[in-house]
Amino acid sequence: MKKQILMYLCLVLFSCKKSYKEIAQTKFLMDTICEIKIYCNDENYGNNVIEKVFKKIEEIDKQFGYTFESEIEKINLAAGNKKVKVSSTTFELINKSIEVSKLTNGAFDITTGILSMLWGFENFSKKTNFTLPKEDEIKKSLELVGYEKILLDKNTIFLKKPKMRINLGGIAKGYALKVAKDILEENKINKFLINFGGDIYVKNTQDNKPWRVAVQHPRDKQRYICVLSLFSTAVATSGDYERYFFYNGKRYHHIFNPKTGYPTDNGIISVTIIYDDPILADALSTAMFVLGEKDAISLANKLNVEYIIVKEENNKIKFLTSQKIKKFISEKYFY
Amino acid sequence: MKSISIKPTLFDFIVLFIFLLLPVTFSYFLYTNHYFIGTSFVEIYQNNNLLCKEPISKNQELKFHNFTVEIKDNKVRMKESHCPYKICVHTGWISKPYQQIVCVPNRVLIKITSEEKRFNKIDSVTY
Repeated sequence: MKKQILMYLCLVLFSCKKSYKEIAQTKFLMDTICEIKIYCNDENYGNNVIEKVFKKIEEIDKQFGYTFESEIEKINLAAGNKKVKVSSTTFELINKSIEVSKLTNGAFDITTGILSMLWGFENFSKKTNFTLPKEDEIKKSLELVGYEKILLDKNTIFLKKPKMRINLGGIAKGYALKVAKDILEENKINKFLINFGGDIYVKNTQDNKPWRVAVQHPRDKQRYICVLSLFSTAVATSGDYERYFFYNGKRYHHIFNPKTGYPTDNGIISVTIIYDDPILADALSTAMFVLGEKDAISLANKLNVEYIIVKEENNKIKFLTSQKIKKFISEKYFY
Repeated sequence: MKSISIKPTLFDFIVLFIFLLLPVTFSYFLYTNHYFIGTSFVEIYQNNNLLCKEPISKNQELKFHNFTVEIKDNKVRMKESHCPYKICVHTGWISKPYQQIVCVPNRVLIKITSEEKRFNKIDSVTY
């Protein structure tokens, strides 16, 4: 009998799992909503780790934002005049941006900063009214667009032409995700979800329950296109429905075609991709949006990117998906 | 050989009906966006500070310095906002846990939270 009780006790003791609690915090940073969820068995420790991540993101925000103390603004102010010494992180990120520009045949280009400014999307949240820029202003601005006009040399950046502007909006969130992911991993958090303005990184090596990430419908915020079940990967979406304005009944959004100077108008209204590298995921979703259906799919196939492309044609919504993405979709509501 | 004839009673039909209804109801909640909203709350933040947490079941209008939030019939919306393009107002009503309305100019976040643990809850949304 005693033996049986002992065996029973052993069974109870060894079958006990550590009780992990979901800890979540949300903050307004990088001009958007940043959310971190982790599973941890010590609430104080978990909250401290999240605070540590947010502190680092605040630094990144200052480094890449529009304030005068930001390194990006210093580079922009010195355009055509002198090279600017920058931190290794800024240098690496600009270098990475140029690599993506080459990879995407210029569809992703951080020198579209001048277009963002011209169309009123820089400091978008503080704008009070929007007007369309004139045709000749757009043409003139296009002379200041082109990643090949950025010169990198030993931790210095030089923009060749005066008034050129770089804008890391299409890649900075991905970089912030990478930094946040690294801090959480260093602090032994094995199950976490980071959502910075819709760009997400998830990881779960703790249990067999996937993270469930819904993909928002670009024309109905109440609905989801589908729900993805994911373990360790990045998900990024670029769409025309988060930063936009209407003028004479037409939608003008913030993703510019570097070749035309106008907001991209190729029928695509959103691109969601699944890719391991959060920095590339962020930049590639923008690039695929600009490239248009055919080139976007060919790029995705080349890089093994899983995608959901949403197009609007004659007021009808069309969904294009990669073959392998189906294994991540646990529920689908459209297409 | 004795033949046994069993006549189903009303109780049998009720039991059968319940057993047929159960999987249908289960599938409905599994494959649609619908959620039970019994213990859902609306949380309103500004500048990273929680302004208030109200049950979504309580119809009311909440007026703040530069925006107004309306909670009605287990849904919530940004009714008015002093911001340039009113993207938050155009978001319309939200009703499901983890949905949110964001007003970047006013740094306002309205989200629905639920304390219930669901097997099929959505953890986050990419947009």
